[in-house]
This record gives sequence, C-alpha cells and structure tokens, in this order.
Amino acid sequence: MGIRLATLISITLSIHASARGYSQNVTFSGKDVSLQTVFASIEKQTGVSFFFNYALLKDSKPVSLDVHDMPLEDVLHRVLDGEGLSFYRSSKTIFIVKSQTGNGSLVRQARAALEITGVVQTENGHPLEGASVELKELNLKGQTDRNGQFEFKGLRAGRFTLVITYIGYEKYWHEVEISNNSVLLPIILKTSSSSLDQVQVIAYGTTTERLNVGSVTTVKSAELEKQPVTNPLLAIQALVPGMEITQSVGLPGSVVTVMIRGQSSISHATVPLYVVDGVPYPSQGLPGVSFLSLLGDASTGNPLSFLNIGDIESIDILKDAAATAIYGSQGANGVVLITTKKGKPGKTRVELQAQTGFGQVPEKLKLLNTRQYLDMRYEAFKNDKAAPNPSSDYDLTLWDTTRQTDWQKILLGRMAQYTAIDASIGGGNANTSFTFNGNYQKQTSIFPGSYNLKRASGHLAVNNVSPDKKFMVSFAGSYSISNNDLPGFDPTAAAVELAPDAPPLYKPDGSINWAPNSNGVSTWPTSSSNPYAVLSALFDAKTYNFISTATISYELLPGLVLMSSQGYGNLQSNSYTGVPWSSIDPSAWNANPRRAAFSETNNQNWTIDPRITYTGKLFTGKVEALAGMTLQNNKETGSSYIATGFPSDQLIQDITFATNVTAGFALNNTIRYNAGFGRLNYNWHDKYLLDLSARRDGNSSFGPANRFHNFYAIGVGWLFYKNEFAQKHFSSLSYGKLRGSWGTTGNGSGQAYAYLDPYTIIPVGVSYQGGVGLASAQPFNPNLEWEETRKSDVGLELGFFRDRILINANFYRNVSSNQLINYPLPDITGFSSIYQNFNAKLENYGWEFELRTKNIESKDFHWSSSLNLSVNRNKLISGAPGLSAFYQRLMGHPVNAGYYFHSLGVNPITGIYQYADSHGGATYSPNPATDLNTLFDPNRKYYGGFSNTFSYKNVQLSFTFYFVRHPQQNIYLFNSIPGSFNSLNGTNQPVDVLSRWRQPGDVSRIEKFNQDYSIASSRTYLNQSDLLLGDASFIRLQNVSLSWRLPEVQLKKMNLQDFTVFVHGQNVLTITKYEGLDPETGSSYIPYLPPLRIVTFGAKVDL
Amino acid sequence: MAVRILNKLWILAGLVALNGCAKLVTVPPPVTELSSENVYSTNSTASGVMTGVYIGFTLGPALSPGGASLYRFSLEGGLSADELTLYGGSTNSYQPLLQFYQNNLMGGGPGTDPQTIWFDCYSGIYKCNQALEKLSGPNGLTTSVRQQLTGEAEFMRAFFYFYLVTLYGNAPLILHSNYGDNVSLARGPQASIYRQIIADLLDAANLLTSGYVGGDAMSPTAERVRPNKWAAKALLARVYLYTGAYDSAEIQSSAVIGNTSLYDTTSLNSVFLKNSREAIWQVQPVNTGWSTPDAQIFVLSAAGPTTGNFNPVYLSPNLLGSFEQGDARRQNWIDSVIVNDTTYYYPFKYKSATYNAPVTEYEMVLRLGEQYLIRAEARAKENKIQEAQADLNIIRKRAGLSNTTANDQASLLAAIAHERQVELFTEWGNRWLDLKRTQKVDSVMGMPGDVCAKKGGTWKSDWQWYPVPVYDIVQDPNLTQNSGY
Repeated sequence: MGIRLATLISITLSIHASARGYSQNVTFSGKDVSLQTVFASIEKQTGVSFFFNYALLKDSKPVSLDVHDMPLEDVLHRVLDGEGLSFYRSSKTIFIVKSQTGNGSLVRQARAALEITGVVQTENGHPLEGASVELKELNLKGQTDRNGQFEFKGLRAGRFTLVITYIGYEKYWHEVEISNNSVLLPIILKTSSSSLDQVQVIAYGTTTERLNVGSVTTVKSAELEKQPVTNPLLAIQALVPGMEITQSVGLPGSVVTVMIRGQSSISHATVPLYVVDGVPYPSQGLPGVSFLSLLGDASTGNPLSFLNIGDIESIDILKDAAATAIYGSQGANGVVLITTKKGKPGKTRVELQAQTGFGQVPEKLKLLNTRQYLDMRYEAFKNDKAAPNPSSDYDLTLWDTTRQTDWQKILLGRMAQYTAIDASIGGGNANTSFTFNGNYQKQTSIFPGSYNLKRASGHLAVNNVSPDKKFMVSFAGSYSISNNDLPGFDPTAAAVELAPDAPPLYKPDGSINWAPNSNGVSTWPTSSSNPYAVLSALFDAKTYNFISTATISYELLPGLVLMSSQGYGNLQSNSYTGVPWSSIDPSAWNANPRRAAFSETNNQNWTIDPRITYTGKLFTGKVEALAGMTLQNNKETGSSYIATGFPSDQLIQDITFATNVTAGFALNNTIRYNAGFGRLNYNWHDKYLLDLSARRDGNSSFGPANRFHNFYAIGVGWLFYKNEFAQKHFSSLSYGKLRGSWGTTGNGSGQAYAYLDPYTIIPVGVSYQGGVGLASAQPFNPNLEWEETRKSDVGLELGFFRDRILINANFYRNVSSNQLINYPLPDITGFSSIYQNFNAKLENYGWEFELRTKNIESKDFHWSSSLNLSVNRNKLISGAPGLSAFYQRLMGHPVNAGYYFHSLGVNPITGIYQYADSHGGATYSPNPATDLNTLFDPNRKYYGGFSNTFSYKNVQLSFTFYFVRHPQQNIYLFNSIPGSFNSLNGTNQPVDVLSRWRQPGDVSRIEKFNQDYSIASSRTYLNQSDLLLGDASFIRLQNVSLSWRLPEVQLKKMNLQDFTVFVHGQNVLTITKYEGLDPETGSSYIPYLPPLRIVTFGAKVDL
Repeated sequence: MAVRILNKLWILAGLVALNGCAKLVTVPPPVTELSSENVYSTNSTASGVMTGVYIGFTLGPALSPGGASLYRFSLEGGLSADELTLYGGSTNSYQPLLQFYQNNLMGGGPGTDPQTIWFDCYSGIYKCNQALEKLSGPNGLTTSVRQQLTGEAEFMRAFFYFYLVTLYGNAPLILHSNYGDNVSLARGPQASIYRQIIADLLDAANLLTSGYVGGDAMSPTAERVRPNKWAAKALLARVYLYTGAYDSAEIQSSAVIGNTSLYDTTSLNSVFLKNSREAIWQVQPVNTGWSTPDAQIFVLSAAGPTTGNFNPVYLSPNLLGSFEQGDARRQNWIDSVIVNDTTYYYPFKYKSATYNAPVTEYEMVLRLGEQYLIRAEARAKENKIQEAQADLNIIRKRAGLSNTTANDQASLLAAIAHERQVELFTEWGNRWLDLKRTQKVDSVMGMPGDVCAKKGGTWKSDWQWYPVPVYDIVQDPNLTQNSGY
C-alpha cells in the first residue's frame, strides 16, 4: 500500500482526476491581485497548503475574482486555467503545475538546468519537517521544510536514487527519472516498525526510545492484557528493569510495594509518583476501619487496583534525572506514567473479549498429621515432666483425638472463579475519533463461603482536531465501581496453625461449632477462634474511582502551541465492617457487644497544567522547547464511626439501631503544589541530543521558609551509529546511542501540614471537666523541606542486524541527601525530637541490562525474546550528628540492613536455642546492647525477567519468567513453640519439627518439644537471630499465554476483523528453596495468603 | 526568529516560576486538626491546651517504666527522703525506683524517672510559653477567658520551674517556645528562676478568677480542678517561704486562709475528698475506673508490696516512728496489711484504690493545711511566736493532739518541721524539699541519721541535687552536669 502510494510520478501524468471529491468552499473578492494572494486566502479559509515552483508563477498575470462560497476546485479552475496552469491535490496539499496543454516554455526549460521538488508526508497526510533527502549519485543533500517540501536545483536529466530518511520512519529508497522540471507526487514515509521508534510517553510530551536521553521503560497494552491480574503493577512485575514490585499478600486489591532503583530515603516514603493521563494518582489508600486488622484490606490496599488494565495503552516508567527532574519534588522515587487508550481514526470497530478461569493456592505446607501432632504434644509433656491440664489442654483432653483435618484444604482449598468481560467500540475520522471501553470483572475467593471482588468500569476518550489542525481538544475519562466483600480476615495463619484434631467448624445443624468446655467457654484458640466464625464477620468496601483529563491546544504560530491540560480524579471508598454475635463465642458476648465500623474516605486531585511548546529549527538542528506551570491540589477527607449495642445480628448494618456510636478518625488534609517548569530539547541531525529541564517547585506541606526549591537536569545523547566511521567499520551495527544524564529531584513529604505543630486531643477515659485536653506532638518547623536525590545515569544502547538484536545497558548512581528524620532535641525544648531535614546521605547504584532479540523471523514462524536484569546496591554513605546509633552503626551498609544475634543452634545438652554473646561464649539470653553482631542485608541481589514469544502462523505462545535473588528471613518455624498448645496462636507445626532435639547429644536445628513455656525466654530471641536468615530466591513462571487466531480467509468469510481464542496462566510455577508458603509474600512470621495461581480461557472478537 | 521565540519562552517560564507561587501553595490550616495557628482562635480549644497540661498529671498507667507523669513525685520524693521503703531493697528490679531509693541517680537513660521529671516540667513549660505567646497576640478569645488562661499558663510555668529549681538547682530558664533558640541554652542561676516564678505568680494572682471555673475557663463551678487566684497565692506563699521572704509568705498565706468562704480545715478523712473545703487546687483523675494514682501506687492489696510495677513501696520505720502518741493521722492516714507475719504500713490519705469504684477523691496539689504550716513557719521566723503557735495548733488540733509546747523561735521551728513531716508525708516530695531547704539533708541522709545507709546506699552531699539527664547534656553542649555525677 505504502509503496504504491509512494511511487513517483512525473509531471506528465494526467492528474486532473484527483481534483475531484472535496467540497471545501471559498469566498474571495479582489481586483488585480497576484495568484499568491489568492492562494494565501484559500490557505487561510480551508487549511490546505499550496505547493508550487515560483518560476511557474513568474509570468502569471494578476487576476480579478469575486466569488462567494464557491467550491475550491471551481475557484482554482477560474484563476489557473487562463494562466496555462493546472493543479492536483493530495491530502491537504495542492500542487500547482504547468498545464499539459502549455506552450513551448517546457522545451526551453528542459535545456536549462532542471529542478525537482517534492513533499514528504506521513501516512496520515501530515507534512514531515526535517526529513533528510538525498540524491545518492549526485551526493546532493537537503532537508524538508515546515511544509514537508524539498527541492533540488541545477540538475541534469537522468535516473537517480532518491533516499529520504526520518527518525521513526522506514527509509525511503527509490529511483527517479528526471527529464523535466518535476514535481513529485507526495512521498509517504511508513512508520518504522522498530521498537526503537515507538512512542514513549514522557513528562508533558512524547518521544521515542531512539531519541530519548532519559532512562525510560515502556510497557505496552499487549503485554498487560495477557495477564489475568487485577492490579496493573502486578502485570509489569517482571518486565521493568530497576523496578522492584512486591506483593505482600495474595488477596486481590491488596498492598503492593514498589521501589524504583532502591530505597532513597531512610525513613520516608519510597513510592514513585503515579500519573494517569497527566493527573497525579494516589499511591496509597486512605485508612479504613477494621476490627480484624488485616494487612492490605481493600480500603488501605493499593489504589492502582482500581484501574482497569484493559483501559491502559501504555505504562512508562521514568527513572533517571533527565526524565524525572521536571516532576521536581515528586520525582526522586521515579515516576510511573499511565496512559489510557485513545480513539484511532478509521472504520468504527467493535471489540469484545471474554475470559473466565480459576485460581488456587499453588502451594501447601507439609504439616504434622494428628498422630504426629499428638506424639509431639505427649513428648512435650514428658520433657516437662507434666500431665495435660483438662482445663487448658483441650486438644488432648476435650477434642476428639481421632479426628484429622487438613485445615489448609478446608480454609484455603477452594477454587476462586475469575471472570472478565471487555467490550470496546472506537473509530472516527481524521478530525474526530473516540473510543469507549466497558469492563466487568469478578473474582471470588478460595475461602469457604461466598466472597467476591467485583468491578465494573467505563472508559471514554474523545479527541477532535480542527480542519486546519491548529485547534485540538481531547478528553479522557474513566469511572469504576468496585465492590469488595472479601473477608476482612486472612485465615492462612489459622489454616496452617490449627491443631489437626481441632473440632469441625459446624455442628450437624449447620450452626457454628464453638466446642465449649464444661464452663461453656469456647475451646478454639483465641486468635484464630473458629476460623469460620471469624470469616463470617461482615466486610464490605465499595470504591468509586473517577479520573478525567481534558486537554486543549492551539497552534498560535507555526510551531508554537499553547495548551492546557486539566485533570480531576476522585477516589472514594466506603467501607463497612461488622462483627455480629454469630461470629463471637456466646460465652464472650457480655464482654463483646455486636459492633460495626463505618468509614468513608475520599481522595480528590485536581491539576491544571497550562504550557506552551515550540518546535522548530535552531541553526541546523531541531529544537523543542516547553515552558509551563502546574497547579495541583490534593485533598483527602474521611471519617469513621464505630457503633455498638445493636439489638440483633440482623440489624448490625443499620447504624440507627446502635445504642452507642463513637467517632473513629476524621481526616481533612490538603496539599497544594505549584510549579513552573521548562524543558529545552535540541536534536542536531539526529546525531547529537541535548535535553535541559528545570522546575521550580512549591509544596504546601513544607515549612513557610522552605516551600520552594529548584530542580534541574541535563541529558545528552550521541547517536554514534550515524557516524561514518561506525557505518564503515561496523556494518552490522544498526543502532547505537550513548547517553548520560545528571540532575536533581526531590522526595516530598506527602504528609499534609508536616511542618505544623498539631494539637491533638489527648485520649482519656474520663474527660477533665467535661472538656477536651490538647497536646502538641511536635514543634513548629518553618524549615522543613524535601529530601533531595542527585541522580546520574549513563546508558549504552546498541542495535545489530537491522535492530534484530537490541542491547541496553545502564549504570546509575543516585545520592539522596537532606534526609527527613526525627532529629533528637534536648528535652528542655519541650520535645525529645523534631522531624527535620538532616545531612545524612544514602547512595543507590546499580546496573540494568536489557536484551531484546528477534531470533527467528520467517514467513510463518517468529520467535522473539527479551531478558532484563537489575542489580541495585544501597549504602548509607554519610551520617550526621544526631543520626541514631542504629544508623551510625550501619554506615557503609544498606540502610535497611539489620544486626542479628548469631545463633549457635540448639544446645546439644539441654535442647534449647542458644546464641553467641560478645565474648564468644554461648548464652540463652543474649544482650541486645552488645550481642547483635551479625549483619544481614535483606535486599535483592539481583532480579529480572525473561520472556519469549513464539508465533507459528496463527498460533502464538508467550511466557515470562520472573527471577529474584533474595535473602530473607526464612520462616520455617511458627511463632509457637513446638509441643505447646498456645491459646493465642495455633499449635500445629511443619513436619520439619520431627527432627527436633530429643536427648542429650542430639544435634538438631529444632529445639526440644516443650509445652509449659519454660524454654520460651531463649525462643524470644530466635526471631532476631541469624538462624532464620535464609534464601528466598525464586524463579517463577509468571505468565504463560497461548492464543490462536482464526485464519484470514475465514475471518473474511465471516466478515470479522479478528477472532482469537486464548489461554492465560499467571503465577504458574515457582522454583525456590524457600521453606515457607511463598518466597514473595513470606517475609513475615505470620503466614499470609500467597499469590494465587490463575488460569483463564477466553476469546476475543473484532467486528 | 526561533531564537527570539525561545528567549520569550524562557522569560515566560522565569516569570511563572518567580511570580506569585507563594500564594498558590498557601493552604489554610487544617480544619480537622488543630495547630498553634488556630488552637487559640476559640475559647474551648484554647482552654483545652491548659486542660491538656492538667490531664498530664494523672494520665496513663499509675506506674510503669518510661511513663510520663509528674504526680509520681510523691513516690519518688518519698523514696529519696526517709518516708518510703522500696520493697526488696536492692533486689527490686525496678531500676529507676532503686536509684531514687539509694539516692544514686544515674543521670537518667531515656525513659527513666529522673529524666521524666525534667522532661515533664520542660514539656509543660513549652506549652505554657506557647500559650502565653499566642494569648498575648491577636486571637479570637473572650477577654475573661484570655485573662484566666494567661493566669493559668503563668501559674503552671511557675509550678514547673518550682520543681525544676528545687530538684535540679540551676536550670535553663526558657520563656519562649521557639525550639531553635532553646536547643543550646545553658543553665541559669537559681535566683533568676525564683525571680521568674515570683513574677509569674504575682501576675497570675492578678489575672486568675477568685472562684473556680469550668473546662471553658469561664463558667463558675464547684470543681476545684483549675488553678484560681488563691492557688497562685498559695504557691506564692510557699515560694516566698523557700526564698526567705517571710513577711511576704505570711501575707500571701493569710490571704488564702482568710478566704473562709471558700476554704476551711476539714476532718482528717475528708481532706482528700474531691472538692473538699481544704482543697486549694486538685487535679481530676482521668483514667477509666480509677481514682487517684497515689492511691493506686500506695494502697497495698492483701498480697502486700511487690517488686513489679504495682505497689512497690511501703512506709519507712523512720516515718512511722515520728508520730506522737495519739496522733489521729497515724490512725486515719496510715493503714497496714500483714503478709507472712510481716506488717506493711502504707499511706492511706487516699483511700479509694478499687477499680471501678465511684471516684470520691482527687489528687491534691495545694491545700489549706500546708498554708497554716507555711504561715506558722513564716511567723516563727519573724518572731511572732504566739501567732505561729496558733497556726500550728490548728493543725495539731485536727490531728487530735494538744497544743504545742514549743515557745521560742528555735523550738517552734523544730516543732513546725516535725509537724510538716507528719502532716505532709508522701505528698509531692514535701519532706525531701524541706530537708534540702532547711539544710538538714546531710545530717538526716548521712551521719548521724544515716538514712541513706539504711536504704543500702552511701550518702554524698552532691546527691541532694538530681542529675541533669545525660540525653540533654549530649544534645545541648552548653548544658552542664551537677557535681558528683
């Protein structure tokens, strides 16, 4: 198609035909005016541009014309026909040419030097400015101007090779025959298919990987859509070098922690800035209320899970200074730009996709069975020379010791259903395009009972361009409603810790089995209780998420565009937790009234970003300049109520039935940002790139004395593959760029009014004189300001064999200073510390590698791979007086490292854990002041992803491995002492405990069985000892996706654009030496639900 | 052209950056959160700041390591002096109390008690300083409320400085809230601190109301839990006595004693009841279910004293032996419990130590009995022997004792000192402060009394001053330690 259009046609072809079919009308009135004047007027009225050789008009006579609302082509005929001129039109350009029926001047000109002129356009008909044009044989070089036009003069007749190149487009290479003064038909350059030339979204603009001097990783929707997860962050987990993404519990919507290029702050937040279509998006949920504190309940979970992955066009992760300095005080931890889908011109397309599948817990712990459990208990009693106590050792005296229950199967063994339906409709013409997506998702849980997370969302994007392309307006908006009634309780700990002979959950009549003792008190261990009873507490969270952006722009002068983006986001959550008596042991009803908590939180963001951009030429290079300002407002509001005294379980959701309502929290915080920013980008012949950016940033959460600060960055790039030397000597080198950047960014407080001295109400049991008492927790700090991170970054990017192999290596070093820390004050000031900036420095340095290859590219078979690897090292490099002794000691080590006791294992004589003391001796009770001497660095050593995509005809298979080398506390022991029947925790143990110490002389890593806690004191140090430090490295088959597309012939027959069926698998397989449930979520003593293995099937149809 | 446009762009960017941003990032103070910017804009929140200071006297667990409450000075002062015995002596694992008991304070690691007194006083002083700054600036308060609160803040600042100067000697004199100016202050001489205390109290006595006001610092109430004019005068009388201005002490205590419409001595078992006519200023307990923390600490259960965080002390034989025959206070203000054939005597001034019993008692800070003793001492110093005897006899009569036989200045002063010991025992460290101000501390704690040795220590005269917390000496290079530490 492109080739056909681009075929060169000389002037002699008949061209009148093409002048039909457009209906713009023109009004003109003038006497004895030049043709140029007429053309200028028409250009103004219709947005077309004229293209002609001045020599042609040299001899033309002035014209007189008075037309009103006359079709354009008629007007042109009227003015041109008499001049021996004709015209043809391509897209919005009108070419003025000599009439075929002209006189002999043609012959005269043929003898003189010849000229050719032409215009270069994109596939959409936009002129391409700055394309380099070359006539090979004559060694003539030129560039296109603003209208995409070029010309060569003084030519002789002959055949020449015309080569046109422009970054981001495929090279045009064609033979032309010149026999006349020629005007070439528009030359259309095809967009490059190289990934180097795909759009990368950067701060307030776009670029391509080839021309970017900053360090940016882009993930496109195609990658995201393969992954049946609810949070887009989890979909990019293995794909972005330098970005650590960790899930802390496997519940959908739960907390996901993100760190880009290491921890840059000692005690402050390290979350990146999230920006959705230009609107800042909250990185953390607002507090909810829950009696059953669960890490990551939906209201405090990760707000990105309220975005629909299907609406996302791309996620761009900005890492270095050149990319992030323009975000100033919010850029230190990196910036994640999420861009939603926009309408594309073309025939209206309807796309439908449906998938359904299941999820399950991939791993089970091997636990003691009832026989082993009972033997353990009896051995413990033997060790302690004691007998079971009927009023506490229920597992031996009251429960049916012949029962055997696999609690993991009962509590975590179900299949979760996963269903997602997507529908989208989109299309438009060159001026207006739109897309509308709708999505519905439902995920049930693996817990017993019917719990689910539902989300419905809609996304609409519309954009419009005026016919002259000068005025542009666009809108994108999304709205989603999520309904989460997953239990506010993770029964995983109960599932692994409950004794295997614990009684059944239900009585035969279906009611909850409290298994009371003779006093009527439930015999279930308190914290896990009857797990079903706890699950039956009510939890319901509804979240409404609205994001919208509107952008208008106007091209004031050629290249000078004035624009403004306005964004508004509103994330609202209403959550409810209810504890009915049905979930409480009846004997404890008196002390535990029915209670319910209601909370409502709202996070509103608005932003206004007016800016002005200039694109043009400076000397012989291209310049892009941007200046703008931003005004941003973030408001968090919320409140909660705790109600008790409901008359019955049925009324527990109606607060009017409560006899006692107290307030929980009240939130009302506003942070305002205001900044002026600018960027200057200079591109000299696509060889040398320079990028300067700066921002003056103001933030209301800092002290009045330090509210403003400047941030800036410089980035440079050298595209050396364009160098003649490189082209001559390394012919396989198709791309090469060396780039570097340096600059400063800030880490803001994110906490409203952090500089203020808040007075809070002192909580008292009995109010003093019926009034409240107030206390101030910190002094007023007018100097509070941001932490600063200086980032340096060097990157080498190489492409070989026509970019079939792309290599990207990156080295960075970030030094974060001005750390926000609690600084000690003498008590005489009234406070023992103040939150203030502090000259401690933290360094992160590391390497990032990426290798992308197209291994096989044949007609039917394609195979491509990509590999990324990240290495980060963190170091506290300088302290300052006042930094706590803990951190002073960590100087030169990672800031999140820690000192542990050195375990000497189990004493072979006594069977009790012992530790090294500072004199080299052994002790059961090490001294935290002197004996914490083993340094442990819990940071990832390296991590990365390895993906492959195979396609054979219509079948495509892709898979991604995620690998992490990661030391971590390896929790193969539970919190309870093996052999004990602990009323707070569970009592069952991993089968590992069978290798325990039994008699003097035994060497084991498990202490002796014990039930009276006589060995508990040494046990308390175990958690701080190196005995549990281990390896949580893993390789995970993160995603597998197999799809089959209906062959083209059938599609045509059925009149479909596309029909694809697919299978997606997430978290398919994990290879690890880690002994707990899951190496990623297993960093805590209490086992959490691991990420589920999810497999879905589905189909996609394009009408 | 391009260059020119570019220039304009940068000028524009510069303008945007330089101009007006300050206003755009100004956010009004939070509406759900109070700060010094808006806490003084309404009567109720402004009075809440001072209420917060009073709450600090009884808040939290009665006795726990690191807990912060000045009322505990009744315990600690009693241990430092000769009033209390620490159960188990040196085997008591509660280190901070052992240090007080053996008079060998360690300079206070974080969270230990000597540090707590220092910190509580300065933390209170900060609040008073900030209150005084804000109350004298523009604010939205009713005049009467502003006056009352200014008086309360001055009174409380004087109160905290009184304990700093009597316990630590020289201390940094801090009169402003800006922490930046205060981080490196050196200690000021005692005399200047006393001058400040007297100035504050004189001003407070002018500003404070004559009656008692409620939580809004305005409406009259029967609750005697906010300082008033008479509280300022009562404390002033005490400070004049400590500084040897006996005539002034007599004038101030006479003013309080003369206000018979508010104050009168009551029977022994009514003295510590809430809002008793004896009370000049009390603080109201705020912990659910508990009356005074003093009762919680001192009143022994049937199990007797413990080495843990509850009931760690009982009365010393020294104090028990100092009561005269027939002193009704020995019967009414002291009780005992027998555990394993050992009788433990404990202070029983506050009697309500049962959880969830009705709150009948408030923590007494200033009371009329002390005023009689102050006036007696001041008058004795002024050689007004008969008037001094009369004051002393009022206290003795209430205790069921006959009139004093002391009839010259020396014997009368000794009789008053003795009366103070048995009247004010385990109240706010009065005994410890009396020993120090009358220069008896060396002869009582060291030879010949040798109380310190009886408690298991070896007395050093330097120990009459508590050490400045080491934490503060590290943070503030100009702060010096008391000698002997």
